[in-house]
Amino acid sequence: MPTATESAVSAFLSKMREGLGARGRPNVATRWYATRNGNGFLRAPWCNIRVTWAAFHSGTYSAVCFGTDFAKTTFHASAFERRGRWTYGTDGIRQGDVIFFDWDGRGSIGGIDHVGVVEKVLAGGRVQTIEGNTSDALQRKVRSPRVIVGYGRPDWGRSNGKVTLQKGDSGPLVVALQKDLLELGQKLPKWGADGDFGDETVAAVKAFQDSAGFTGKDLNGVVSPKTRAALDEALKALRH
Amino acid sequence: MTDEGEGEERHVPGSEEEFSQEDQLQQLTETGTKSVEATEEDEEEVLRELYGEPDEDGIYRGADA
Repeated sequence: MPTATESAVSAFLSKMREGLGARGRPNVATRWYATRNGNGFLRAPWCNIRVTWAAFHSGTYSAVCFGTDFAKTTFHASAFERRGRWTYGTDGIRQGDVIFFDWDGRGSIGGIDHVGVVEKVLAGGRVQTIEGNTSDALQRKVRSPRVIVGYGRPDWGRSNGKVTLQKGDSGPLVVALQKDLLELGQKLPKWGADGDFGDETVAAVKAFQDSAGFTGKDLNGVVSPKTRAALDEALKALRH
Repeated sequence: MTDEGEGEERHVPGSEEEFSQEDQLQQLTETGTKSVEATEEDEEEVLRELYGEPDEDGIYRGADA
C-alpha cells in the first residue's frame, strides 16, 4: 500500500501529466482560473496556473498552494519560503517538488521566470519536469542547476486522506479504487478495473455511498475523503 | 460545483499571506514569461531513455500520460 504522501504525490503528478502536449490559451487551466479569479487570466502566462489547477484537482491544494490560487511564480515561491518549505538550489530535491527557474541564473526569488513540477531526479543536480506554458505547451523538460533558483516542498501532510477522485480521473489510484469497489460487491460490468473514472465507476461509487447511508449532496459519485473513509471502513469489516 | 477541494480551505483574504489576484495579474501583465528557455542539449536523448520514442507530435508520453 502506498503511503499517504506517496498517494498525494502520485495524484498531483497525474494531474500535471493530464493532457500532456496541450498547447495554447485559453486552456483548461486558464479557464478554470479565470472562473475563480477573473477573465484577465484567460490568456495569461499559465505555468503557475497549471500547478494550481493540478493541485486543486488532485486534492493537494492545501499542500501545494496553502489555500491560495497562484498565477505568479514569485508569489508562490515566497509562500513556500514564508512557511519554511523553500530550498535554494537542488540539494534534497524529490519527485513532486515545485521547482522554480530563472533563465538568467540570478538565483533569487525575485528573478524567477518559470515553474514546473519535478517528475524525476537525474544525476548531476538535473531534474526532469512537467511544465505548463513552456513554449505555450504542457511538456516534459530536462533542466540543469544553472537555471534552477530553488524548490518548494509541498506540505504533503495536509493532504493526508484528502485525495479526491472523481469522474475524469485516471491512473493507478483509480485502479486501486475500482478493485476496492469490486471487492465490496459493486458492479463494473463493462470496463472493470481499467483505471479510468468514467460513468460506470461513478455509478458504482454512488451505489456504495447509498449502501453506506450517504444522502443528499454526499450521494454524488465522488470519492471525497468522507467516501474514502467509508470505503476503508467497509473493506476493514469485510476482511476481518 | 464539485467537491474537488473538499476539506481544503481556500485562503481568507486579509491575512498576512494575502497574495491578491489583482497584484498577480498586474505583475504577470507587466513581466509576462520570458520566451528564452534553457533547453538542455541532450534533452531529447534523456527523455527518449525515460519514456521511449515521442509520438507524432513530438510529445514524450511514456506509459503514464
